Amino acid sequence: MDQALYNLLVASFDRDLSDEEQAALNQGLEKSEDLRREKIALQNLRKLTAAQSPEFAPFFAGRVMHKIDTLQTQPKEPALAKWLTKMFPKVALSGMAVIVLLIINTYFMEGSFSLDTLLGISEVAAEDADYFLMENF
Amino acid sequence: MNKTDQRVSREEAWALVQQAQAGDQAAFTTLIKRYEAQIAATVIGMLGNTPEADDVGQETFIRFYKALAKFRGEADVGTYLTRIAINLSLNELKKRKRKGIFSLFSSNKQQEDYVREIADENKEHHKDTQEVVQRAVQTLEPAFRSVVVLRMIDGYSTKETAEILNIPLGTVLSRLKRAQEKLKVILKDLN
Repeated sequence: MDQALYNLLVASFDRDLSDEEQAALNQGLEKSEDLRREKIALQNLRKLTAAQSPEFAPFFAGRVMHKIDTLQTQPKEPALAKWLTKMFPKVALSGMAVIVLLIINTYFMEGSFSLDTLLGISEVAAEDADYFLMENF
Repeated sequence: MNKTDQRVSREEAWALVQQAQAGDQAAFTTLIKRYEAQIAATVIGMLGNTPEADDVGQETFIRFYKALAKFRGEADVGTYLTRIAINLSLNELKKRKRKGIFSLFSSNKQQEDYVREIADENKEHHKDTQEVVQRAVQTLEPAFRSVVVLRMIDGYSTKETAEILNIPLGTVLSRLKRAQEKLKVILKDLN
């Protein structure tokens, strides 16, 4: 089957074809059995989908109005509380990102992931503790 | 002409909106009843006949109710509601994807096989054709599904479909072509 004619056939269901396109399609349909078969398959598919009429469960309008009534009678959350609830995940995520970056930076600077490195304390021997303490005071 | 145009005239819808804006709850209830079928077709087409579809349908009208004061009647009520319904449905599909909830199926291929099976059954036992078509539509990716639902189920024009989804007309046409090819294969036993 001619792909260009098939494309025209598909397009004919969704847009207006120009006079030349329409003439080419009509000619193709006259000549090609396959193209005619495709046209019928597409028409059937359109019929099947257009016939869809699903429904919500019964009393849909009543349920919506009940929800609206409930929303109207519910006390409104204070604006600040609402803002804090909304902002918390963003602030927490940004904080986490900063911590991770600092840890990575420390690793590259110090070459270690030890607790002492992360806390910025170098190892101090017990016998040197007095000296460090005296020096700092 | 789409399915809404067949049911509710623009004037009737606008009159009901104005009454609802003035606080008439009964008018809003009438609006829901007028557009319920159209929104059901959109939402159930997108999400299948699931409890989430009912929730999204309700949320569509609640969002409209909240926006009622700002509604000036420039857009058609049905199109406005459909736009809300489609966006909420696409959000729901993203949520599903994130949560990894994908009904009983682990892959699209399995879903397609299942639809083919029930299409065969349908042929033999004349079961509910609507369900088979609905399940076949569910096998499409959301981007293709939304185009099929709006154009082929709701009956919007390709131009309206492009406007509702905020995508170029050419994209609508190419997605329709690819979606139809897939649906034709899955539903060939019904044709």
